[in-house]
Amino acid sequence: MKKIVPGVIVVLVLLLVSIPLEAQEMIIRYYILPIEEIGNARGPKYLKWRFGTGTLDVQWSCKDFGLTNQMLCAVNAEQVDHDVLLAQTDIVKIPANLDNNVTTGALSATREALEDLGIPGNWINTSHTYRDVVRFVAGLFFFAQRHHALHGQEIKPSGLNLNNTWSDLSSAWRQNLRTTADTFEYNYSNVTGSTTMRIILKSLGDQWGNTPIEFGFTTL
Amino acid sequence: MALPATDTFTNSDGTSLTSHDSSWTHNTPAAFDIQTNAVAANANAGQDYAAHWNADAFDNDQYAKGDIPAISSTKYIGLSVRVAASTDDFYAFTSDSGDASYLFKHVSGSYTQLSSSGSTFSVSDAIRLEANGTTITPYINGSTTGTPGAQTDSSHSSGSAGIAGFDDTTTSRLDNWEGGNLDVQISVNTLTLASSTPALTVSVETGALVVVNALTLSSSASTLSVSPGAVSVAVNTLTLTSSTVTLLDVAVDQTITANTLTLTSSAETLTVTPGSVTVITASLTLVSTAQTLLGVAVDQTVTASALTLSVSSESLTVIPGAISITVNALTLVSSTGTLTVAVSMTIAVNTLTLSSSVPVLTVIPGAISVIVNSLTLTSSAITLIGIAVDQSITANSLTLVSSAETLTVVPGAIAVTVSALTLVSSAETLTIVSGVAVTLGTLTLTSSVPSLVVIPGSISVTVNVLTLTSSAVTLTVLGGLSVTLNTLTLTSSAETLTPVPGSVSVVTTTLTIASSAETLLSVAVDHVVVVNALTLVSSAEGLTVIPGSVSVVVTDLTLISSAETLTVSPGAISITANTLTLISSATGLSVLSGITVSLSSLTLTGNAETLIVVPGAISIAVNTLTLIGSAEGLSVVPGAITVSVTTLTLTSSVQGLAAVPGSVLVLTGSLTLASSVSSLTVVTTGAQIVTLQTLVLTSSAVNMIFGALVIVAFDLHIKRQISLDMNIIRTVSFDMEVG
Repeated sequence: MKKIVPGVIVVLVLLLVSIPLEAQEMIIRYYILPIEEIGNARGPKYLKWRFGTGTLDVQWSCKDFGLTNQMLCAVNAEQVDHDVLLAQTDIVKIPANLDNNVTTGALSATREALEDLGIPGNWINTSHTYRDVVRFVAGLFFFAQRHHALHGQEIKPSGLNLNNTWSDLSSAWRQNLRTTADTFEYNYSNVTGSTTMRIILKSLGDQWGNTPIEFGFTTL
Repeated sequence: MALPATDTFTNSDGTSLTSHDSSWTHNTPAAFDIQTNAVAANANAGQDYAAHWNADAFDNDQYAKGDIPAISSTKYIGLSVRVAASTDDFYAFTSDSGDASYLFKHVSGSYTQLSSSGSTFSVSDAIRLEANGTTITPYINGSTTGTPGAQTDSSHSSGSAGIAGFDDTTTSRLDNWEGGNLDVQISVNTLTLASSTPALTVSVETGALVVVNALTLSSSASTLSVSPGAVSVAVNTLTLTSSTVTLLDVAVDQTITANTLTLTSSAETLTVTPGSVTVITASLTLVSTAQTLLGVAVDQTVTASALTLSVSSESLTVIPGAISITVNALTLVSSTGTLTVAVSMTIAVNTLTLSSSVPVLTVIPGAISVIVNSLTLTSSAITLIGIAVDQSITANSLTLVSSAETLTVVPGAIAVTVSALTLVSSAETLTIVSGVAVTLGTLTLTSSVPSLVVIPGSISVTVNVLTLTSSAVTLTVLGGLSVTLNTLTLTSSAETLTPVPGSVSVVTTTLTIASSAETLLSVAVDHVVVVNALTLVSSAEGLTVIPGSVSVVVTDLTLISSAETLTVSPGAISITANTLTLISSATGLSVLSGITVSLSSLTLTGNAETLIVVPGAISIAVNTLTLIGSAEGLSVVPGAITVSVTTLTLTSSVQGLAAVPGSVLVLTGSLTLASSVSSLTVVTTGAQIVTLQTLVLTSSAVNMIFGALVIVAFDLHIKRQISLDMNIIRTVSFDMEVG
């Protein structure tokens, strides 16, 4: 028996050593992260970037929400790194499998997570997949990026919510939105004074259409 | 200056970039200078800087590239695209030697990193940054490997190419900079524009190539527009399925090659604007309404192996110019299809079928040749060809099968050659104006009121076989014409072949008039009518020869119906009929003076048939003359007339042989009066000689009345009591029986 014990120990040691040596599977997951501002530089909170404080050194690609301090990020990382992000409370986490439908149990939380960020979410139902959700969010963020670059403002005033209507916007703000939409050749002919921002932003996000969205290491 | 712009930064160290070349603009003041004949950042304000090339306007889709001759730690150098004219807005790709490379953007001076970092630049690296639509792509040595990769971002849509960097340095430099527009090379395996108002607009400069293997524009108002320039559009399969789709609005100097082009919806338009445009379509089908296939202007070549216009209102319109259209098979199957071809064009159509109502093949005057191997018009109201002067139309087979079809040839030096022409419907008209030669191998007019009308002029109409089978068919040939008919058959009533006076020659090998009320020939002066076989089978048929130097030669003349009349008016007219048979009652053969009527066999079988010979230099030679019916009469009017009857038989009552006084010689080899009240009456007392080989009076009340007449009867049999008042000069055998 004494001769057997060292052998078992050796095997266990080898097993323990071998676990960290194996390359873990890389998983791409999508998150909506807060933007970290350092001076006049912006990058994703928690993730390592040029001027940032985040230490999570992973492969990432983010689409900012224009002047709004949120980003839609694709993160290509091992599960252990995703776990760091999944533990954060100020992050919207999208399930890894984008082609799953939104479940009944997750429906309310998904809607609320988006609406809390000023992103229309009430349109989501269980017939939609998470890919539908992420592509809509990206489409809306791209509109917000152009709007920020052209007019230096968010897509809606901070004091308004999604239930506010087109007529609640100032005339100048409405004109800025129209100008931005024109650069994309988007259609806004159905917008009236009583159209809510929820409907307007949903339409603007949808009109990105089927254009591929490049994240460097993946395409959505 | 012309793009691409380049700079090798050859200048003294420390020279500001804008001093080195005013084509550069610093987006932040004095951020770059020349170092070791390259460019380096020379400011350290805690941010990245950009400068851009201002001497050219860049397309939205652009690139910047350069080489890295030196790189050091914490000193960043790189490229920028879509740099704003004056504000701090751009995309950039920079690196140092110890940290990483970064892809980022500035929006109103605010830095946003687009992705995690990439590998650092190394000395001699060739770096490149592209902005194409909303895709920003960095490259190191031609590859995205080791870079952040292509990123979608929409903040900046336009600007100029330039450089970027950070910190004041001489050790991180960029050289051999170049900025320009991305080449437009669109290669699309399958392109589908499925929603409303999508537009694929390609605005390209010279040298662009658009290749679309399969292009489907399925929605309304889909548009593929290619702006002018030396543009090639190659579409293997192009399908337009929706209404109001405009396929190609292609301007000058362009070539469009469509192996298969199908326009399936209404109002589709393939429009080629004037210029040296070549449209090559292996198979072109227009299946919808209101399609306009080609509006092709001058100096263009359109080649369509198979062209089918199947819907109404389809039009193939070729605007005047030096255009050649070659269509192997052209089919217009719908109503109101129009194939309109203007001047100076050659149209070769191997098979042209116009099958619907109102398709029109219209050729406007000019030096046009229309060659149709097989042309078929199957519908009503088809106007085949309105062809004007200096045109040549050759149709090997031409069939007009519907009503109101018209082949109209307007005056001019036009030659129309139709191997087989068939008019089978009513109201068909083949109208040929003067100065035209019409050659018809076979002409068949089968319906009522089809007409072949030839208007005066130097026109030759040659018809090998002409058949008029319907009523009211008129073949009218005016003066100065030559009509040659090998076989002419008029089978219906009221058919008329009327040559109007003039130097007209009508030659008919076989002429048959089978219906009633047919007027076979009205021939005026100076005409020659040759009829090898003439048969009048119906009542009221007439062969009328108007006075003049007309010769009517009839080898076989048969009048089998009542009321048939063969009338030859005075003049130098010769009528030769080997066999003349008048079968019906009231049939008359009237021969006027100055005419020679030669009848080998003359039979009058009906009642009231009359052979009347009017005085004049007329000779009537009848080998066999038989009067079978009652009231038949052989009347010989006085004058220098000789009636020679080898055998004369009067079989019916009231038959009379009357010779009017004068120098009339009646020679009768055999005279038989078989019926009662038969009369053999010689009225005159002149030098008339009646020679009777055999005279038999078998009936009562037969009278022989002679004036100063010489009767020579070799056998005279009087079988009943008769009243005889004669001067019998000689009888060889006189056997009188008195009852």
